[in-house]
Parts: sequence; C-alpha cells; structure tokens
Amino acid sequence: MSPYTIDGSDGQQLDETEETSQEWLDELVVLSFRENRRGGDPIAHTADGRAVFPDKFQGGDEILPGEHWICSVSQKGESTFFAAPVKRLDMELIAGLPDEERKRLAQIVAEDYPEAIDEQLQEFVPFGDGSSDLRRERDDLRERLLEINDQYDEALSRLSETEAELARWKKEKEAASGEDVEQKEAPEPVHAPDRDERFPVVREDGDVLYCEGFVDGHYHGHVSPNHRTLFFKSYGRGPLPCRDNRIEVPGLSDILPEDVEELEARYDPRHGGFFVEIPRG
Amino acid sequence: MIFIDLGGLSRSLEDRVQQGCRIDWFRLAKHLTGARRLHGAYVFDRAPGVEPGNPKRRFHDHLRYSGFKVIVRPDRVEDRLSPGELAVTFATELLSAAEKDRFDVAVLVTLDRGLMPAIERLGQEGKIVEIAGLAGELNPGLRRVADRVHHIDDLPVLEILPSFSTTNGHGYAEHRSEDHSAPLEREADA
Repeated sequence: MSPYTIDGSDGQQLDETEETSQEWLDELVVLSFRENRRGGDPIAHTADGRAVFPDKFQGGDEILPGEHWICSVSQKGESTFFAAPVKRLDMELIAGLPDEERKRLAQIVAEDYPEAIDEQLQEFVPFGDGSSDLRRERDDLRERLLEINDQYDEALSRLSETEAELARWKKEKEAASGEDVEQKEAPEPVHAPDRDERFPVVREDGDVLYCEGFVDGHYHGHVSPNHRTLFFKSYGRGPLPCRDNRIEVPGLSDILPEDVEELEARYDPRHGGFFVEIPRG
Repeated sequence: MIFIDLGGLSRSLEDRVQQGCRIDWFRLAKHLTGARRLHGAYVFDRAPGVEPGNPKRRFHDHLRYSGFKVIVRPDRVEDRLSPGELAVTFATELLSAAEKDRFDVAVLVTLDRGLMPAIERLGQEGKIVEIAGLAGELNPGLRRVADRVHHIDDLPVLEILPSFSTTNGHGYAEHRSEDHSAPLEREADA
C-alpha cells in the first residue's frame, strides 16, 4: 500500500484530510451501494462488514443507491473507507461484453449462485409439465450415483483383500515347493531351445523363406545396414505373418541374389530369434 | 551401459533406411549388449517441438516405454567453436555414471570426436569404452582411444515393415515397433 495524501481538484488542501494520510488498498473491489438510513450519501459494505462511503473527490458523486460499482478503496485512519468508482456494473456493461465472457459469466452464476437466478428463471421461463419429471429423474440419478460410489468403494476393498490373499497364497506355495512361482507361470516362448540350433532355409517364390524352425504366427524381421544379415523373432503382433513355416519378407529380392536358393538359420536363445546370413552376390 | 547419440546414427543411416524399414533402437541395444548384463541405456536427442502430437515426442515416449533413459536438450551452439548443450550433456552423463561406478563397460554410439577427452579419462579410471557406428563414418580419433569398435553395418537393426508401411526417413517410428513387454534392462539381462 502506498501512502497518498488527497489534494482537492482545485489544488487546495482539504481540511478533513489534512492530518490523515490516505492509503489505497491493493485490489479493486465490487461494492453494492444502498441508501444510508442516517441520510446523506449512499453506503456500501466490504466483505468483512466495513462501511465504505463514496469518495466525492474521486468521482463518488456519480454513485447512486441500488448501484453496483467496481471501486478502488482507500483507507483513512483506522476505520474510515472511501470508494473511488472505476466502472459501474450494469446491463449495459454486461451486454457489451464479448460472447465468450458473457457465457462464462452466466456459467459462473448458474453453477455457483443458482439460488440467485432460480426464482427469476421460474418466473420468466415457462416450465412445462415435464419439469417436475426431470427434477425427479435428477434426484433419482443422484441417489443412483451415491449407490454406485458405495459399490465402487466396496469392490476396491474386496479387490485389495483378494490381492493380499493371492500374494499370501503364492508365498506359501513358493515356500512349499522351493521354486519360483513367477518363473513357473511365465508363458512359454514359441520356439525357445536353450542352445544354438541350426535349420536349413529354402527360398521360395522370390520373397518367401521356408524353414522348419519358423512356426505359424507373426514375426518381426530385421536386416543389417549392409544387407548381409537377417534376423527373425517370433512376436504375436509382428508385421510379418508366418504360415506353414513360411515367412514372406517384403523386399527380400532386392537384397538376396537371384541365384541363392538355400540358406541357413541359426537360432540364438540369447536373442530369442533366428539369424540368417546372406551370401555375397 | 549404452550411450546413444540418436541424431548422429539416424543421420548416418538416413540414406540406408529405405521405404519399409526403420531403425529398431531396442534391437540395436540388444546386439551391442551381447551376452553381457545391461545396466542402462541412455538416448540423447534434440528436444522435440512443443506442438501437440509431435511424432518425435511420441517416439521418445516409445523409447522410454522400451526401457531407455531419454535425455533431450536444445542443440543450439552460441558460436562455431563451442560444443552444443546436447554434446556436453552426453559427456556429463557418461562421466557421472562412471563416477558412481554404475558400469564397467560403456558402449558409445556416437560420431562426436569431442568425447575423446572424456573417453581417455574413463580409461584412466579403469573403465572399458567401446565405440559403435557405421564402419565408414567412425571417427579415427574415437577409434584410437576406444577399447573396442562395433560395426553397426553388420547388425540386423533395421526393422522390415510390410511394403505399405512407411518411415519418415529419420528412424522415428510412426508406429510402435516390437512391443517390448519386458523393458530393456530386464530383458537384456542375459
């Protein structure tokens, strides 16, 4: 807050404020002015209940009872507050807002202060006979939502218990058998001998490779940048389908010399796939 | 531990990545690891743009999902003689990991000769440093200071796609390649 001493518009010092500095509060506030029961200027109250009077030296003369204003508030002494009007909040202001801001304003009022507009809505919007049905349906849905939330919490609780029971069961089983339960439950790879194994590969129809080691399903295929090595690994969602031990390799004709018909595949358990070396053309 | 300068190798393979092929970084890491135990794989790349749905951002996420630690930095240089932020980050992470004794062997996929001092330092600390890249593009200085050189030319790291699939030419997969259900570090523990 910055100290501020009021000077009159005519440049003369004002008697009332000669000895009291006036401090402006940091934020603008919205004030609703009403008639002062004791007479005189209209009066408004801040959110914490303090009375605020129009600051006549800052345009406060414009404020009338029943009006709402965005004001800059200043404090003089301990308990005296004055409002310098900045902008009147009225229909003209709202009507002049861009569509987006008006919609947002309506949304805030509808969501946060429904009671403020409910009465007016009922007065101006003619609800049909269906309105009571809609309200009933809304209430039913709210109840249903609460029920579902309860069921969800209960299900989570049951799931937690079941998981704990399963973990306990696994632990007991592991202890009983002396084996790693997780390992036993791991799915078996399609083709996974534990050592290197070699298979003959026959090239068919240009881009098709036949190998006894290939099993039906899908494969990932890789080629080295120098086009001398191919690698095939079984994978359920791989892009290369395998049927009857045959994999069609797109573009194989471009990297495999035409006269090469027989190759060899080496299954490498470390990589879980087949390496196929391509001879130089 | 593997450290990959993603942009460098992508540019090297750019003309070899044909329609229907793309670089499989996971497979590259597996081949470079061989029978050893992999303790971690870092990927360094230029920061993607901020626009939503940026394919490079999705690609980085895919790498992270596969088990890589992806580090992105803006690759700006203030003047011609100073190294970029990305290159400095690469060296910093390498030395930091060594200082914490997180690896015995570092495999660097890079063409950046500026890493030579860091590599020499690692050698003095008793670490083994291997360099990987395309045979014709490996920097002679890096070859000299490295304990071993891998020629990526021989490794099947280009994934073959059905002919209708495409690649954007930088190795940034538009679709997920091999869906590695086991993240890199665990699967490579062979």
